[in-house]
Amino acid sequence: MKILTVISNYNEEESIFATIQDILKNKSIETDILVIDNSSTDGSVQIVKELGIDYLIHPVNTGGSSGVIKTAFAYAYYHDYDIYCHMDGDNQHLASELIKIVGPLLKDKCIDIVTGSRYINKEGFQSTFIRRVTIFFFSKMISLITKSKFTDITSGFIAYNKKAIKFFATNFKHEIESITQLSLVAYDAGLKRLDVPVLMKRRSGGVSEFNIQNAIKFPIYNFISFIGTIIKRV
Amino acid sequence: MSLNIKLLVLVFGVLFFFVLLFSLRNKSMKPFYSALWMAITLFMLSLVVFEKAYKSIATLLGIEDASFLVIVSLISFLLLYVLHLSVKISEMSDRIQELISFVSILENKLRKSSEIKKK
Repeated sequence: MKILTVISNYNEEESIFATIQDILKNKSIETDILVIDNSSTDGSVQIVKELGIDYLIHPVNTGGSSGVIKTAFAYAYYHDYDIYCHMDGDNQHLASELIKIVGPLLKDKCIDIVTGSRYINKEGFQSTFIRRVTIFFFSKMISLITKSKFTDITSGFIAYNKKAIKFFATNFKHEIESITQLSLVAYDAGLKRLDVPVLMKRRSGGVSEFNIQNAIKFPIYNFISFIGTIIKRV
Repeated sequence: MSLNIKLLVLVFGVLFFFVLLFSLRNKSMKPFYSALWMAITLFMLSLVVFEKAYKSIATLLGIEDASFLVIVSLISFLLLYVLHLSVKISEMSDRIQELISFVSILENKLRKSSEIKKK
């Protein structure tokens, strides 16, 4: 069973070392590690090189995490991986919990995507109030539309099986700009998913992608995606 | 249409026509867009030449002032054109993303094979 863990990196100089070390120390699953750098301007890539970890560098910044995910799917598909796990390079996810998102894929062949959710057990870092409200609102909406339980639609801690890897590597289009939109497309494609409880730490350094600009963009983009999904079904 | 407006439309139409010819000569535009703008240029010039015909169409449609018909037609066209460009931009951005992914994977493969050769 070939497992790939992808760490997305954009200017994570302060936390990329700890993120990689955490995975290297983790013995719960055997996985290849790949860092996908979204054209960082800081010294994070140099840290990755010094650690001897495999890496990909985007020649230009793709303006969001969706670009990194698209490359990760292409890489996993091209290298024939069975499972692709995604982690952010901000050291907020725990490598020891990789088994929680990989486990269901290994046990149940009917499940294609497993999302690590911090809002099931409501333990650990729960993010800012505005983000929590936005996530709650859209999680409810997406659950209503898809009749499937979504609890943390922006989670960057996800594992995909071979079927999902193939689907996204060959069907990823511009309509997918975020994890939320990806979830909707996955549901439409008939991919089975599951949320599992995980812990998330507070960001130890660097700057979060979640700023005022994204706080405005996120609900608008997602709302448009919802409309698109509803229209498709009519 | 007053003489001043006629002159203005004529000057803009001719100017547009020459800019278009220049871009055709330099091949700076795809044939589809050249044809589209050529049609617009001809439309602008036809406003001066076939003024009466446009007035008749406007009367037929129950529009008192023919200039409204021209303005509404032009705005509608421009909106449709912007919509078309938005679709094209989205398609282009998809292709750029694919290229970015492809280039980064290829670079990774090349780097690995050159490292193996060095060893």
